[in-house]
Amino acid sequence: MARIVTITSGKGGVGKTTTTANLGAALALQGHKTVVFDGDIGLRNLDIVMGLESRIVYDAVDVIEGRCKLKQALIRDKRAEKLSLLPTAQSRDKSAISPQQMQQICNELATEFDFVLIDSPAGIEQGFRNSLAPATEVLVVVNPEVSSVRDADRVIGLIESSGKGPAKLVINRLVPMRVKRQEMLSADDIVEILSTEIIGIVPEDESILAASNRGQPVSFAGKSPAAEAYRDIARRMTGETVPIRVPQDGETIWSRIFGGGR
Amino acid sequence: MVTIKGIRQGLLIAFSAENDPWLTRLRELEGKLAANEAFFTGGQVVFDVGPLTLTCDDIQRSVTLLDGYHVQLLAILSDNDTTKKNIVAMGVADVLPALEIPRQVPTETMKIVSIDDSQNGATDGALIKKRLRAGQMVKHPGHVVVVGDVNPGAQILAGGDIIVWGRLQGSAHAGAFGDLGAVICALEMAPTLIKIADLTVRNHKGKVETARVEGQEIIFSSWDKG
Repeated sequence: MARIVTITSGKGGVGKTTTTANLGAALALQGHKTVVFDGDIGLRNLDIVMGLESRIVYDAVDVIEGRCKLKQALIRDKRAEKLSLLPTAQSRDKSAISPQQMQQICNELATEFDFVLIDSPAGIEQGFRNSLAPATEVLVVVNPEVSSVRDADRVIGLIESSGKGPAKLVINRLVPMRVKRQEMLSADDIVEILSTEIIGIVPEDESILAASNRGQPVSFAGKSPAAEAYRDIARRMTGETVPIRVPQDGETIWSRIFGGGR
Repeated sequence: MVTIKGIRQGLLIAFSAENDPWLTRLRELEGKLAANEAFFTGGQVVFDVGPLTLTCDDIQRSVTLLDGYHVQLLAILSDNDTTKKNIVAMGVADVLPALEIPRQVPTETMKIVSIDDSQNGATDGALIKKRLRAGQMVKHPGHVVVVGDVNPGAQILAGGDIIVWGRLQGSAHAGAFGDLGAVICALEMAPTLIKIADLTVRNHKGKVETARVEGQEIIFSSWDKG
């Protein structure tokens, strides 16, 4: 049974697409047949971050509207044979697709792949609901800042009441030095508010920005701290016991494990 | 007199048997709706009109009034045969709806367990055994007890008291119908907003405390000091 993992956040710009691309690459390189699916109709980005924009012929909306078969819309990534992208339409909007249609596509993907990662759009409107509908599990990406945590809380509540919970947290863009200076929320602060299990902490990493612009997700080959963090999350997703590393000022230390709520 | 109490289906609005015209009675109800719009909006109500005689017009006016406040009339309960006929003629239910459908609280579906015990001087309340998250709202005409934290951005509106066995960081309005005797207690007080009746305090911080009205002010007293 394939796992359909929706990656969402409520707030925009916290790193959903980057997380989706990197987890997709990491899972595929670890041997799992994985497809990353762009849920952001009309504002697609996942293809750019993956560096596959130029290879798009058909997209998910074409599949739904019967202009092509699902296989024709899938783009196989040449860097990792087990990785594929299902792009979405650039010229339409969220109303082009219904939660039921999203479910249908995912059911079909589930017969081919071990993991279906859905990159949800920001917000809590239809695009979010479409992306949540087929999920068997949900990752919530949160930045260590109050507004991101507030939106994550809202979204976790919606996930719970739709019966898709409990969600797991990816804390993204943590800057240890700023946490130390108390300019930034710590992982502890975030867990205290959200009481949600953390699946990984990704430190702020300059190589991510360059990688996104080049269309080369860091977890393909990168040695950067963020790349390692993504690969660790992928291993945790497949049931390996990998202690959660809390990024430290200066160096990365294997640190204590977070888990569960209070 | 118009009395309002919480039932499983929503709110029960009971009209006492007086001979005033129905319009006068509705005006009294409107006063209550207008004073607590936030509380009623999106809600569902059942009228209990006892032996009163209501014409079809009266029923239509009631529905129109409630519509104006985004309140849905689920049923009218009556002991009067003429009224009963008119209720049915107007297509309104004349019995309490069955409880198969879980009660919907507009912003978010919350499981509300009613502590229905009118004996021994106990009053109605809702017990919520979960953390309230941003954007979630609990409204109850009686007391509200939350076992868990109330996160920033969550909201509680209660006709009676509010007790939070956890950290209160969201907003809490007790005595929403104007009861200055209502109190708010929490294991940790860090609310964005506290209201008792129409008095307001923002950004208070404290440990185990009770908020109550003294004079025309909300006073916080800590549990330790008794």
